[in-house]
Amino acid sequence: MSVRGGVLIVFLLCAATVAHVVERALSSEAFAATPVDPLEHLLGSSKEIVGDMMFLKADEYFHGGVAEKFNESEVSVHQEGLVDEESHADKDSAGLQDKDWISEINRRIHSAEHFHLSKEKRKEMLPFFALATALDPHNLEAVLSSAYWLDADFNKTDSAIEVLKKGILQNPDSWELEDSLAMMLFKRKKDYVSSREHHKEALRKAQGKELQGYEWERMYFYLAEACLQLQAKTEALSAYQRALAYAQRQGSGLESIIQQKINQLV
Amino acid sequence: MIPVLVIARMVIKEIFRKKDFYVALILIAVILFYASSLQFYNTEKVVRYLEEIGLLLIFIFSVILTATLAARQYPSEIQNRTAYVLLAKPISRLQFILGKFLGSLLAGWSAFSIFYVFFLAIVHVKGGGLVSPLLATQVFYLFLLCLMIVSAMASAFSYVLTVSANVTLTITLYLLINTYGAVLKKASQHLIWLSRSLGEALYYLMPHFEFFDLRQRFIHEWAPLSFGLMGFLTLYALIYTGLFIFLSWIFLRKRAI
Repeated sequence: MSVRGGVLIVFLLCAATVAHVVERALSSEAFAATPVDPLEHLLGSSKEIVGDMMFLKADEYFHGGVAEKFNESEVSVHQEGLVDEESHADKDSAGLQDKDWISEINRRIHSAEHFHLSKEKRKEMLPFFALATALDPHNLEAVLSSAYWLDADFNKTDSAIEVLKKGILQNPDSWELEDSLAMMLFKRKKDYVSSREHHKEALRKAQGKELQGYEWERMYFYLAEACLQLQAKTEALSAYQRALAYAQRQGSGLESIIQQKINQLV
Repeated sequence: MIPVLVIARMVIKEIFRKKDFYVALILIAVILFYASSLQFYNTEKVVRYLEEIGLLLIFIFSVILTATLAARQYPSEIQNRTAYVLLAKPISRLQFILGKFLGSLLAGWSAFSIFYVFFLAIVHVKGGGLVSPLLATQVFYLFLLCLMIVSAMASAFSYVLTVSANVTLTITLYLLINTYGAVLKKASQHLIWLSRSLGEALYYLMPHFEFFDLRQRFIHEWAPLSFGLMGFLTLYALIYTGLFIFLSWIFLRKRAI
């Protein structure tokens, strides 16, 4: 090897070492400026908008590809391969009210009766829920809907819980996510310890926010139920009493049931 | 007829000789393979998102390839000075126009057919069988008609515009009309007088590409279109194609070459 070649190799090694050291120093200070998430890197700040569109797309899929608002008058219509569960009146999906021949052709091509996806085909919504929650983790409606469908329709409670936990990490002030997780842990997983903790968190986060009375009533009621399962009778009694107070204020009709539970504990 | 076919055959060879088609095919393949490999909450046989991405890609790429090919025919003949040779007798200007249009059309149809078969294969492998072969055929047939109009339009524009202007205008018109064609008249009512008239003129004059886009119907498994409507759409496409070929002839007829 010539001297010139050796010098070149030494120079390249030095340059590589300097580049490595500089990069490490920069990356430790500038981590906040460089998005780690590839989706964020690709879409930038528009990723929330795309995420919200994906959520709307999931809704459109559920309604058989029709994205518009529908008349409330219900008409039962059957579509090939699809079972309508709550069909509404026919709607011009292209949003066409004019009566010219072009709109008429468009109506014939791009309109369909409104129907809901049959149960076995609802899985087609999952990619859009996954994208919606990944792109816009602050869209609470998307996170809650994704978790709901995963749990209620696809029996994927573990995935639903995972979605909610990720949502809570991204939205630490959301009582809705804590409440939904607590309910899922209570009803589906029978994990009363975790359910109680998340109910408490939901109640703590809900303080100072405008909730409906029945929401307070429900949260206190299920907190009490979880406590009762864990034999924490004093805590359960206190929660039942709070639930009863809201039930009486609301006139929800559950007063007698809650009162019975209180009587059993006293 | 023979001169027309000879010119058309030369154009068809061009699309497969140039790299555009292969680049498009590879791009479609990469995106579709990646999209089909995605798993959502460990659920099997989720295909509609793949159909949505796949159809969008093959429609867009087919339009781009067809428009580009049709747009560069006449300008490249002029630039290479081969138009003078071609337009010498016994080839008339109308035969030249028809040959260029037919070649672009058949090349675009070939590319789209390959894309469509590839797309159906990917969807089949992913687990989505054809719910309605008739509907799949209608999607294919109507988009062939759409490409026919695109090809005729780009051919007509090629006699008055540069290649880049032509490609930009054709693809922009396709995308705009396909997206907003159905609501153009309604939307233009909220605009100022000049724009409203322009909007309405465009609404009635421009070919409605959205008529030939059955993606929504295919993805959500709606019923196929009636044969009467298919016949009407065929006639509609033929009329616009004829109009654009006539325009091409008007443009080229008195042009000094």
